Amino acid sequence: MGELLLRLENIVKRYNSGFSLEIPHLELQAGMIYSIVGPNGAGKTTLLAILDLLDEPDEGELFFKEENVGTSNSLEIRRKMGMVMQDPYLFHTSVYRNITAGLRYRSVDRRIWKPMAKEILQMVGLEGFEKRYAPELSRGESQRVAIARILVFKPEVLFLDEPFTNIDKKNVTLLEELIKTINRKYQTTIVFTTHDLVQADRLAGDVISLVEGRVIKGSLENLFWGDVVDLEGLQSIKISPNIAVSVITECRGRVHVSIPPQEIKLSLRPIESSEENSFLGAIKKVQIEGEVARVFIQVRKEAEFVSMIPRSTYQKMDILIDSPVFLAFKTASVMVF
Amino acid sequence: MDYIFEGFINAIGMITSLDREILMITILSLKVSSIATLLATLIGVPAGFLIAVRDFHGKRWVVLVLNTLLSIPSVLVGLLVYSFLSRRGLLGNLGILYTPYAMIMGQMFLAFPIIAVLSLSATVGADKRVERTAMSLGANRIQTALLILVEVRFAMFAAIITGFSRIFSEVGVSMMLGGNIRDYTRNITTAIALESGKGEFALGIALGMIMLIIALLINILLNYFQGKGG
Repeated sequence: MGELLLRLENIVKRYNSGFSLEIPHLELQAGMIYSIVGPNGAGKTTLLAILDLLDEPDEGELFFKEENVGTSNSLEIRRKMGMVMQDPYLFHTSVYRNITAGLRYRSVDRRIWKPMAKEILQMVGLEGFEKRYAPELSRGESQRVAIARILVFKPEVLFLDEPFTNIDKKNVTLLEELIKTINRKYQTTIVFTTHDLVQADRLAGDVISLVEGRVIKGSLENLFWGDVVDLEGLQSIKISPNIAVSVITECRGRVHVSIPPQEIKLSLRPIESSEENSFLGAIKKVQIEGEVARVFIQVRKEAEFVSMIPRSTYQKMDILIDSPVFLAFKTASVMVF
Repeated sequence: MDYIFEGFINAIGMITSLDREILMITILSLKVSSIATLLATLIGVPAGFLIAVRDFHGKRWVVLVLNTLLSIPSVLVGLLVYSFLSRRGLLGNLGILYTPYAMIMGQMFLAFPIIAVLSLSATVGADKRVERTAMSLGANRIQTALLILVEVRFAMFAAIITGFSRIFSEVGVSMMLGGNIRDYTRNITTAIALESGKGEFALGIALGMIMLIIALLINILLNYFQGKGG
């Protein structure tokens, strides 16, 4: 484990719309890559803005290296971090002046601006772009200039809000490589938001899942919600009209349930066990990621489950798209919140 | 209609021969309006910017008053400034009534609401990401404000040019506060008014043509900045 870099305690940020972000406790370690995943409106950008000290929470405290962030030190601490927005704004001037803006604010000696800008542009694959007019760059190039503009002052934390949205596949690959290089070369802590859970798993050392302004312990895959009911003496949650998931919980009323994909087993025959949830479904999609296969199974046309199994197991099962399959998971593995 | 045609021919002759009186009048007009625009810019741009970025009690009323001042007739501004600068007025002891300084003061009051309101609109219309980008790059409050101003610079220039073109073509303030004194406070608009009254069309037409050329140049500039800002 690295050094504790950022710590949030009892953070609450409320909006007039009724949405609120509530984070009782969150820690980010130095030198790690984190990804914040969640559906639209989950509070990902709000969380990033609070972490980057762009927005003040209504309640709670934020600590940077165990130093409590307040009005007196917020600028100084903010200068140790940087954020690239989802749709980055480039100033109406040259790439060079964009890149050196952060250096100007930090009163860095002007004589070293040129070599610094050159080095960083080289790193993001935009060598020789210094004199180009920034607003005329392509989306992918703009994204990289925006990253370079932050990286040039060597921040301890780099926040990237939906960096992979609206860029082509080639630029996604470039950006993924760049994130890994930055983290490796400068030991920069990187926090990025994304919708792509596979990408989050692939890039990040730790994935923070956000749902409706709350950090959840479970995965965002296999996330359902429903009412807790008693079915034949067992506690269940009806996640759809005809599908009920057996759970062990003390919660009542409407709740979220999450089943970790790696806890879902697949079988060609029915799985008989009193503690298992078991459903018959049909395979809809398979994603192979290295040695892991993500299998998407549709159950009764009402719910889609994702199972993560070893690639070799999937290949041994010899199953095809649309073929029937049984999925099962233990009652104890279902997270309820 | 011959007298108009004759006046037109004579006017071209006066312009091409760089008539001394025309030069004096044009230079005074440009000087007075430029200084007044500069002063109005120094107050109007920061005022518009601050009103846009700050939330304060009565902000809506301030904006309403500024918007109302946009349509104030120049003779009314002339009258108000006159009441201050006349011998019995609050600033009567300055003794600047019927001098270019009084004209500058009056024109400044005329240009100020235009520049302030257009600066306010430019700031409000600035991309919301500018502020957050600046903050995330480590800018303090002043650096952030300056960056927003730089990013809306084209709209600001357009505001300044609009202010200039308004006061350059006004007649009420110049007439009431300058007094239309030959070789001293006579500018293009007051000279045109006087010469037309006397039936001397040549000088009036010549000055009118100069005014049109300057207006054209101003509009070319304005168009350029509006295009850049857009």
